Amino acid sequence: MKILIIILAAFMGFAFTGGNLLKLVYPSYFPEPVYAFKANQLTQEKINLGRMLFYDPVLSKDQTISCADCHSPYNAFAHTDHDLSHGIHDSIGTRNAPALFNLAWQNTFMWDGAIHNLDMQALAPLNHPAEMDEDIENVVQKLNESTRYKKAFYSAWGDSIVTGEHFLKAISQFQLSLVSATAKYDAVKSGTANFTEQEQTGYSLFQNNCNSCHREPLFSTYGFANNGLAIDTALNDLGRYGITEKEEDRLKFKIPSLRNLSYTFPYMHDGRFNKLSEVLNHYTHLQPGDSPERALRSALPLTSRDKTDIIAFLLTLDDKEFVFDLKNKYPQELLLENKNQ
Amino acid sequence: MDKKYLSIFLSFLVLLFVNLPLKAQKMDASCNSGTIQLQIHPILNKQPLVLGQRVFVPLLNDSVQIDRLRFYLSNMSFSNASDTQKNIGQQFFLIDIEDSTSLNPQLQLKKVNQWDDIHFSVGVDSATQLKGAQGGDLDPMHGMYWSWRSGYINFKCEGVSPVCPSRKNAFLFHIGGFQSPFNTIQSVSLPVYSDTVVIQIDITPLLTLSSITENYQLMSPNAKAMTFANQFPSLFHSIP
Repeated sequence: MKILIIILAAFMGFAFTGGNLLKLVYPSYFPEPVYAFKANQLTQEKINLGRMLFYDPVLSKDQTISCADCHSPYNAFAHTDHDLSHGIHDSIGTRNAPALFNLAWQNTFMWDGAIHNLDMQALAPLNHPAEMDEDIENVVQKLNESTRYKKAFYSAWGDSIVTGEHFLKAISQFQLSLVSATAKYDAVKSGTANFTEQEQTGYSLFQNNCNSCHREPLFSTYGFANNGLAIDTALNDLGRYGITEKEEDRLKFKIPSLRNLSYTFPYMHDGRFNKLSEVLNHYTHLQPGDSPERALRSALPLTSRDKTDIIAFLLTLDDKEFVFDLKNKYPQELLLENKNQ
Repeated sequence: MDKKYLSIFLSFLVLLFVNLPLKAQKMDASCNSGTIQLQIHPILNKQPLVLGQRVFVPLLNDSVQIDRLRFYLSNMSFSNASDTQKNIGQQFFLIDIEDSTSLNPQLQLKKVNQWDDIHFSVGVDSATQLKGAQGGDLDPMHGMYWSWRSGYINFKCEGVSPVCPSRKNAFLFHIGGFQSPFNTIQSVSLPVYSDTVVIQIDITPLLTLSSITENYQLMSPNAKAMTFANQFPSLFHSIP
């Protein structure tokens, strides 16, 4: 009997770890992720919980805005058609909502790198008066009053008491699971598809002109750069300088990935360009002194034909499979059933 | 019983009783047990600090009311001339004047020794700041984590004073920052007198005319926050 109890207790102990540990799946030509998975090991239960939270407007003060409102799965988790992010009470923010994918390879977040750990990122929109205008203490309290969430937290963490730590780590888990690595480019890399002649020409031009900042295979170094955009005097956004107060960081913004561009327009930190051709024209019209970056000291020497070829290549970075992946969609089965709990 | 033996026994008893307080006093001279009781006493103008109570502060020639006082103590250790006890179990203590248990943490030390000094940091170290979400006293739901940028608020003090020119006369000192040159964490060392370590934190020196009338909103890691934080070590005193 005693032994049985011990075995049972041990079994329950395992049950409380919240399911089997998962390993992030990514192609062999990707670098090692930088996220510290050791402190937040992936499980399906935790990813599911994170997905519920991501799509649930309960996170906002008046229960109207969810993460997915500005990070829509159909836009590779960006917000198409909105140059600046659109939050609670029709507030308009000051920056374009960035796309969310391949976050495990990034260790700074936001256009100015204000956040240095994915776990802590959610606090920023949660608290921002023009986004969700809520604070984490209230969210934790709301979740603790919900039977549905208490169950979900229990199955994820073996503890039905909602804490800030578990809440933030679960949201990280869902976001970490958003890996975009199934574009045509990836098929070519793995040898299961070929570029067209134009795409191949565009790829070579890309490698010579763009790859130093938008480095493949993630298509960003995830560093910061001042790409020579004139400051929007209505926003007066100084970018990374606002965080570091270092002169060399003035007007630097985080370099975005070029994956999924078809789904993530408008472009740049303030969403000022609607078309890829406008973006390329910016780089071919740079004047000396516009940008302090070595790669942009003078205008990129690209002809109209070159630009068309580069765009043809960039479109091979559209990851339709990722954008339409059902496992990333609104979790109807998790959020709509038993809605009143 | 023999009278002689009885008198010896009695005198022994007397000696024992006389000796006991002496011995206890000696033990008190510096702490030597595995359990140490910390008592944090916030002070304002030589009196125990009471939230929401108006107190006249001579330096300002006006009143001040403190509405919130929270700070982190971390990396606690004990030492004497020959030994140090570094790992005391709990690493981070969120001290919140509204939560009396937080003001009286009990520490279980592995080593039993006579300690002369206690050492701790005010704030959260940068290695910990770089980690992901954490629980317990470091859970970001305690209002001690910035949301607009990453980082713990090491020290939070809020209140009102008629001399403060802000809206509702409110001053907010949210002191944080862990990256050079604005690493606001501070180290403190204090003498230990007994198993009960009574530590006063006197916030009066923080309420200077310039802090209340000019720098009344500190909520970023910058030079002003750094100057403010540099005062922390001098605020702490242990009392016998």
